[in-house]
Amino acid sequence: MDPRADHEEDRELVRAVLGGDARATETLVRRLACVPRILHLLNLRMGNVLGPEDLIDLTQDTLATLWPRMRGYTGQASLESWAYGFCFNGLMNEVRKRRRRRGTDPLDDESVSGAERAPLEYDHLHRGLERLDEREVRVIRLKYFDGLTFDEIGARLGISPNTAKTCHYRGIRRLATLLGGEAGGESS
Amino acid sequence: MSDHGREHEDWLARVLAGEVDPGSPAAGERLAACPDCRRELARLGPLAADLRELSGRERTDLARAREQTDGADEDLVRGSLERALAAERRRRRRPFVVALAAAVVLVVLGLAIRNVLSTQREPEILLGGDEITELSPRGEQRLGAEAYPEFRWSYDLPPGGYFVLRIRPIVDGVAGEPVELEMDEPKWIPTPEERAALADRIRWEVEAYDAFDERVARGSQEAWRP
Repeated sequence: MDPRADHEEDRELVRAVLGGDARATETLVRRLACVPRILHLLNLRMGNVLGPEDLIDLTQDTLATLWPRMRGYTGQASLESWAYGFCFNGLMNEVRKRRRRRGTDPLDDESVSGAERAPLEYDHLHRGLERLDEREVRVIRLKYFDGLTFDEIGARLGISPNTAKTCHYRGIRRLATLLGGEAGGESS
Repeated sequence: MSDHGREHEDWLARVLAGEVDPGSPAAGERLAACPDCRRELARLGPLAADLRELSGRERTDLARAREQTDGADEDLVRGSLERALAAERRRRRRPFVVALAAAVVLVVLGLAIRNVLSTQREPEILLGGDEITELSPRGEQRLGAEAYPEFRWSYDLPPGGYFVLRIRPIVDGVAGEPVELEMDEPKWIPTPEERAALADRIRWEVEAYDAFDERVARGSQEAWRP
């Protein structure tokens, strides 16, 4: 299997930034300008729970959380996809905080729409993905988050498309077990 | 795995890969004939659908974010990065010795207050989640002034994770305010000056956090110079 990160260029960009490369830093700034835009879109989907000033504050808080974690960026996901997770968690934490202040249980709030209910599982899914083995998580990320076909995934990882499909199936099966906490686990 | 199991796994892999329509008559016949396949597909199908939906939403959001070109967004990000770098430089310059000395002073004050009021409870260190193991130093340190040459522990961080190390001086059984450090390696090697500033008896703890700032493990130890 190709040991390189699936987003090697992004990983090299981060390394250059951490090494003090000014041009790389400017490139990173342009790339991570997606953070306020992602938060705006997520907030829109949530029904504009945050006002413009709150969004600016949340953007700064999200970036303040993200910057120290750059050292741990592996290039497994694109920079933007990696930042998306921070944005999602930051917004959900803020929403939950506000609801606690109002004395509303986030899970019982009648104002939660169907579109809002689904994103509550995003964090859960990504935690599960972190617990898969390397090949399985790569196949799943390349398939779902990068939109590659199994032929393309196979070429990227140096495996046959059929092997990629089998790996995909086993990854989904293991993920289901991790997220569902079911007894019995997988068949051998 | 038996041939029967392998054949079923291959077929289910093709279904989840989108090559076989589970609603087709042929698939329906197959599922009717095999309760294991039926059960497995019922378990995995919704998860695959969730993955498609959430990843699709993320890709849509990222595509829309890339289309926008607002210089104000870049200014916001640039300003945040500059502040983060400045804070990092300040944190590195802060004298560890001063911080430890302040912690010891706070312990002495705490003792004085305890003598006037009632007994103080030591802060409890509760263990939860995964446990960080192989913490060193622990127990009596035989090296005297050379004690505490390094702090080490064993734990594999998740991607993007980090450790928080806290060291509290213990004076007359009372733990003082901690000095806190953050690192992404399972070790901290104090300078000679920092080592000399450590109290004779310390309680130290290390916590592991993931990329979302959720604590995933912790561990603690006590150590003392004879």
